[in-house]
Amino acid sequence: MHQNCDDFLKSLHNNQVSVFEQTIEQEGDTAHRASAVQTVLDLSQCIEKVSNRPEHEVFELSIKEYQHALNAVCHGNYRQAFSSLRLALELWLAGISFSTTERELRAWKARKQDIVWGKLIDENNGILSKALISLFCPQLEQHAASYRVICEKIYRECSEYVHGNHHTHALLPQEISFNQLTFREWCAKSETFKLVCLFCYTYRYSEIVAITGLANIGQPIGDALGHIPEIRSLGN
Amino acid sequence: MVKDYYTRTEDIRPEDVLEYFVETQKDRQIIDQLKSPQPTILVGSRGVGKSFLLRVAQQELLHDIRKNGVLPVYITFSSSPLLQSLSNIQFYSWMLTKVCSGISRAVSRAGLLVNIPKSLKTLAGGTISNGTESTPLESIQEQLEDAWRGEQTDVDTSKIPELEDIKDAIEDLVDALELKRVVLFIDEAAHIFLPRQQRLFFSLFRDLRSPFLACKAAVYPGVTSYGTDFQPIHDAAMVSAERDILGRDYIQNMREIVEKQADSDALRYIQTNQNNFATLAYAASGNPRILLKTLIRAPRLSSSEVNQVIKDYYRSEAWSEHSTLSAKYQGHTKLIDWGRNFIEQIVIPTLKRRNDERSESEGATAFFWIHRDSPQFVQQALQILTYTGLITETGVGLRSKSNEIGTRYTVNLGCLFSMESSPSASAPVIWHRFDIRRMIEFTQNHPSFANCIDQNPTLENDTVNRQALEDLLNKSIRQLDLTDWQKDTLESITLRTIRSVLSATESDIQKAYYVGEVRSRRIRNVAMAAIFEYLSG
Repeated sequence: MHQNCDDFLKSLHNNQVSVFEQTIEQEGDTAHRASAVQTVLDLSQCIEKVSNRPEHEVFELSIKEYQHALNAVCHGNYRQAFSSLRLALELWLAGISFSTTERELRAWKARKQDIVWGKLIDENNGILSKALISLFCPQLEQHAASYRVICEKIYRECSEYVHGNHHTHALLPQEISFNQLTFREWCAKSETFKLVCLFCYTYRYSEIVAITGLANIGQPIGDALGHIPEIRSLGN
Repeated sequence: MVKDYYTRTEDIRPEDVLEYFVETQKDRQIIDQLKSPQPTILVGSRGVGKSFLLRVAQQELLHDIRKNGVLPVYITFSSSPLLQSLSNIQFYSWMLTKVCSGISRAVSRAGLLVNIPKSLKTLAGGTISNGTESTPLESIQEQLEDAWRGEQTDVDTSKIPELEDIKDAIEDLVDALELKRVVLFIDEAAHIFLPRQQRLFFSLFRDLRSPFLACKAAVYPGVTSYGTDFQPIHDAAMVSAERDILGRDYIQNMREIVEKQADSDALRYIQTNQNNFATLAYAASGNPRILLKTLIRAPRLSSSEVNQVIKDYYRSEAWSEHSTLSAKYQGHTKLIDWGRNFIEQIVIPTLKRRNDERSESEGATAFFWIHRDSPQFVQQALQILTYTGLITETGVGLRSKSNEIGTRYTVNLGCLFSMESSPSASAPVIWHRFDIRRMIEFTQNHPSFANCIDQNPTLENDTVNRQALEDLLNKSIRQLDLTDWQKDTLESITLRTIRSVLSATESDIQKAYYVGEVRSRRIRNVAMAAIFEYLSG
């Protein structure tokens, strides 16, 4: 019985290995894979600049979760990949939120308070509200609504996988097997995830970005957000 | 995966319309006007959102029906191009049946039928519908609508109540149901190429006026045959549905319209290619349907995609859509072709030259002015161009530099941008500095009008005859704005012409592979909408 159980688990593992091999064999997806990995490096590089701040560890948790998502998508655990991507987004936004109220960070760590998505994304007081952005980087407040909509959409789309909405069963393979469309969809969402994270980071720590300079803080912000003139002028 | 968007209001369930609504200040004014007791004519070219605004007003009134006591009724006259063989009396009767059956169905759907008022029997022509069977009036309506088949149109219309009886019945109905009034929204109310029907419609519109019934109609610009009974402005408020493309919030509004439907990937592309999105939004000239259609073709909003779609759509498709009007309505060929040549060969190149000559610190133009005494032929050709959205009227009774009075128009910006070798690079330089005061002017004796003076305008003549309709009905369904899958499905069951699709029932369509009850209804509805749009020009 014990042997059978392990055999079963091994067969699951073997399927995953097979999916992983197919995933990295797709030449047409090289850029997608590279970009998904680059996200880990870019976000890590950014949070280095705030390593002395209490919310730093929350950003670290977010990046860790993102890596779980990346690992899952490469091994064919697609639903789990979307789930972890959603959690990574939630944690990143929570990190930004905690940076403005250390008391809430302490309450969360003391298990006295949960992260509430609805509160994070609130139109008037959330992370992507005009009111909050104007306090840290007024020149970016005009972008609040657009990024909030993007953020709501990606969270909602990932949630469809988390909650097992009917259409997701048709989209995902029934067994552990490679599915290029789903892989690419996840990669597209990971791009959006990175864009939102970097926008939140840039407005919240605009002073650090300005002092360090765009060139010094590295390519990530310039590459992802260079299309916004106000961000280009931050580092000058 | 290319994201599909809803580009027609008919594709959205009426109860879902509010989810897709992006309210602007102007939209709110229009909707409040549509909900008011005052008769209103809503004017706008195809795709600017007239049907959408009517539906929003309808849903808002339905939502507050218990509080405000106003019953909204939505009907469409989209099938009127098929009814050209009807006599004046028959067409008028058909409109009355549409009004009556629309009201009785709306009462039923609003859940107001606990105690059936006697007045509803008048509106139903005898028997009240239980929601599935046709009322006697609806049966007459169906017989009249079969006129396009060429079968005998000697339909017994004696059961259709007189106009005064209908108005009395509406008053009784409002009283019995403790309502304040009924608001009647009539979509696709008057067809530009059918002046006889236009006159009959406006006559009915005026006759229906009552304290218990407010009529609101959506018409295309260029519809001008009001008849002798109807005085625009006096008999109805005339409201334009066109968007102000020079408004400060224009791009933001267009973006929010897209945001309502777009997924996170599409939004990321918009966010990271804002100038390219703005170029497409300006190119659409305030028309959300065209913006969504072009966005489907340029999903990543890369410069090469945007350049390609502007070239394909605005340099050829938009114009060929205009020119196919002359194939459909041959009596108007001269007007249609002259209008195209005037804008394409004279106005747009002149505007481009002016923009190229001016420095980047000077205002750019997309505007031209026509003297009010220009030949009738010219003015009617311009009306057709406003109908197809290739130009928009943006000011009447304006003085030119030489102090003369005339009308200002804006050319379709996509057509203007399509003259650039790289619209994604050049268009922002233009739209950043639009100045509406910079317009090129055409006086009444401008050399371009030399050949028009002796031309007799034909828009007023009912040249669209039975043969023209016959020709349209025999056209292939490939002409229709349907997806390839929808066209293939219809062809797989030998529905190859517009006529055959019109004749087909839902059960006929169910013979197609993988099409059941739900899909057959959807395909038929979509096909009908596409056919009526095609027949409308």
